[in-house]
Amino acid sequence: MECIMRADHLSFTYEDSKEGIRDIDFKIDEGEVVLLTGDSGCGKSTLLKCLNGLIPAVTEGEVRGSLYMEGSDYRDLKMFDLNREIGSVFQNPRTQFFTDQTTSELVFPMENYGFSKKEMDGRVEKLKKAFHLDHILNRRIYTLSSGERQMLALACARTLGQKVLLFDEPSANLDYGNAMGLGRLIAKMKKKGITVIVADHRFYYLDGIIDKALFMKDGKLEVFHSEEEFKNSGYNTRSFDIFSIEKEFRQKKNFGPCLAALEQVSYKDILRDVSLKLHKGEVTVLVGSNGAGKTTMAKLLCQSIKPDKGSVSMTDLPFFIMQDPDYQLFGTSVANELALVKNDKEAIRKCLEYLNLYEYRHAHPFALSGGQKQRLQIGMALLCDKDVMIFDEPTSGLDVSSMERISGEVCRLGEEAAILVISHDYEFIRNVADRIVYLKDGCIRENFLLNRDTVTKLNEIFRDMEEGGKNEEIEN
Amino acid sequence: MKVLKVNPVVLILINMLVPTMYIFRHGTYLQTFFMVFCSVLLLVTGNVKKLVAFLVLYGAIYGICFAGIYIGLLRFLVGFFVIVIQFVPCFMIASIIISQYSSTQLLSALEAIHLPRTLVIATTITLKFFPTFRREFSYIRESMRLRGIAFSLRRPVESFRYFIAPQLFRCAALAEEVTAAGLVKGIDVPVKRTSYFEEKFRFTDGLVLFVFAVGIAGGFVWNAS
Amino acid sequence: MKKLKIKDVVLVALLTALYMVFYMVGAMGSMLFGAFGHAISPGICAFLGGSVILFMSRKVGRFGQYTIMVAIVMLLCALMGGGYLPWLITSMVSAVLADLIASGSNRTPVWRVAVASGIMHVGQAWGAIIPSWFFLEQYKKDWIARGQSPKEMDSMVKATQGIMGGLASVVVFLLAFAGVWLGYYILRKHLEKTIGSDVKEGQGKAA
Repeated sequence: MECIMRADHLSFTYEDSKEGIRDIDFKIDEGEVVLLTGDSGCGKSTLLKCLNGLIPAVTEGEVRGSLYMEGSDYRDLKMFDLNREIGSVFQNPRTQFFTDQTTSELVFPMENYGFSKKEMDGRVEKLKKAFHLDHILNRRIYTLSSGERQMLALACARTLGQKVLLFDEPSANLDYGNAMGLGRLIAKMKKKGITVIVADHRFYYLDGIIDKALFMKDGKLEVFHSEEEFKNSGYNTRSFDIFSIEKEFRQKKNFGPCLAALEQVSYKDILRDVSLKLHKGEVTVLVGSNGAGKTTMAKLLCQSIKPDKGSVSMTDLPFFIMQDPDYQLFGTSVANELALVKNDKEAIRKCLEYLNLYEYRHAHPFALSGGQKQRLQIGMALLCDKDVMIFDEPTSGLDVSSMERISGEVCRLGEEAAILVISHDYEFIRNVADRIVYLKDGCIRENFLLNRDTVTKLNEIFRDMEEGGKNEEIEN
Repeated sequence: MKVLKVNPVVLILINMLVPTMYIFRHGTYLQTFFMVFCSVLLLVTGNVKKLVAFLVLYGAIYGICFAGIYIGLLRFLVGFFVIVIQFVPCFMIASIIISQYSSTQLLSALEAIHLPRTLVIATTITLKFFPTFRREFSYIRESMRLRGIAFSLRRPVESFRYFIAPQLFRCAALAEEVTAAGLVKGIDVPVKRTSYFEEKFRFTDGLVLFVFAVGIAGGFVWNAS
Repeated sequence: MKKLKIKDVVLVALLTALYMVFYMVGAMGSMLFGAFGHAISPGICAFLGGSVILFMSRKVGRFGQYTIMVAIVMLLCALMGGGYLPWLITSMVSAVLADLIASGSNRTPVWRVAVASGIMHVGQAWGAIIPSWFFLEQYKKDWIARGQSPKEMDSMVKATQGIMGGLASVVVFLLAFAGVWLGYYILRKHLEKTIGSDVKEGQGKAA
């Protein structure tokens, strides 16, 4: 096999911080599937940005050492030369696309590279077949499901016939079924001889197809030359098989009174006769594929929408932690943000210390990192004095250790309040759930207390969601 | 009947010229010509329903203007309608443009007139995010309600701040990601951009422009006589 | 003078999208006030969007920001069939003027940003003002032909032109000026908190 990418003593230091990567050496052969992993802040996104040329094109800093693409030095290649060979798939659903329409998006790179209309027609035909795009083309992008969006993003990264594909944290915005679907697609790419590099801290969907693992810690790299070697390395690789996790069950028995309830609620054609009770001191986890109606249930509880049938009963508005913290931050500083919730200096100080955010108390909320923003949201929940709280995907994009932290905080909040968590993060669910509610096609299919006897039910739900993902692919 | 598709560049050009022409030549002739011209265009592009609606609108506005001549009270209102009525032909063409092409396709079609690359890329971004932001304002309002900092008219400045500040800061945060997404898709390639949706200039497009030009020339002759 | 980078252009484009939301609000809201409202609708937009302008002057602060912003708006209007040559010209000229006045750095004094915004929006307002002059002139003939006295018509047209031209320009300028100060008032605390990191970034770019 031919070597397609090589790094030789590669280092990078950011302009305005000490973070960066040091002395990176690796070799990637054509057709390999490479996992790039490590905790948040370890430098894996820095390395990924070096690979697709965004460093030094957009992010400034000092680069030392060399990177080679098929033998030519990155220094001699322009950004646009590089991107003819390397396709990048970003994951933020709001910024990964450049236009508002699927066909325009697909041809956008070709237009930029000055392809003729005839060439473009030919490519579009080929991509349509390869990625089953018939139902996706000529649509508004925001009407796509997350699975369809993933498919389009992949097709777009291949429009110029790129030989290498880079993925940046694909699991952050995909549910379990779609992530497994992506794993199958990557396996298909590998068969076609395409080199795939995936940067992610969750990698269960890549089980069995990894050729090389690049593990980063504090800016340094360790290379494992097979999946076996990586699994035997002693690092935390248990998320390969998420169902094998050994965890204590919470097994609480006494829950308080019911604080919020949906009774026989129907809404449009999204929900049908749904009933749910949230008890004080209980953490209820709502699982289900994207589009099953989870968010609609949360909206009903928040009284943002009114049910067509049935009743919603609760004493007060719940505290709602949105998936995207950016919509929820209004303050002029971290401390001010919490003061908007409860103007009690002493309580705010304690809360910030508890969350390790005290040194950032004067910082602007938007200047925080993603994980810090999530912690700030938790801080609001801690201070809010509400007895019902709803968390929407609180762990998306978090590495294992941050996820564990959030788990602890949710459990702590769960002692005093009734909590509803929407999540597809299996490990997190195992950490926090007292009760599992499975929503499918607008109906509640399962509703049980999680313990040693019922954990198999939870595993079955996840397998069921994976099957659902497969069906979606076939329909497409 | 086979529906005619007119090159969007031709339509946009006509729409830029129509109101401009009023500056040089005014009078009943020009207005009548534009109305007839645009009505025929709507007809051949298969927009019969729209045509009827526009004719009714035109009639109504004309009625008001006419009444204004005799009823003194209406006169100050008339000033506005007098302006609106002369834009009706433009509305008609705009409705053809909007019904036949998506904005992204239009932008792409405009490559034919050699717009600067930077402007095309920038406008693509604006086009994509304009509806996004409009939707997101409702998320922010919802989030304010749930946090108990509701939009209130009693404290308008404060409320407005909560409303706008998050959006502004998010723009700044998004800029880097959007730049990255654009660069990997080649927004910086130093070759001339091509266009997938570019429309060929057809015989019928030439014909439309010819009729338009003759009509305007006719206006000059009319005024001269 | 510092040149716009790709990232700056992207940020301007994003901010323009936000600005367009207010543009629409301005256009809708002004309908309530008839012809005069139509003429001052850029002012309403400028008042609400003043914070966007101020934010841009702080985060981009490079020559060309206003020109690109207005060019995008004009191009979009043209796409929707609303392009109108004299308007394009007055708008673009005033945008370049705005850039000359207030795009030296990202620390341009607020009053200069406010003046720039005022000029930029007056330029846009003339898109409604100019045709009103010609259109009314034309109708004057019509009215007189239908038996109104020329004198009465003259005074009516003059009054309308005066209101549409002079007064509307002044109102738009003041609204735009106030909008930027409102933006400053709203964002002052926010910007204090983040400007530190920007300065660092700015130096990085210069180096």
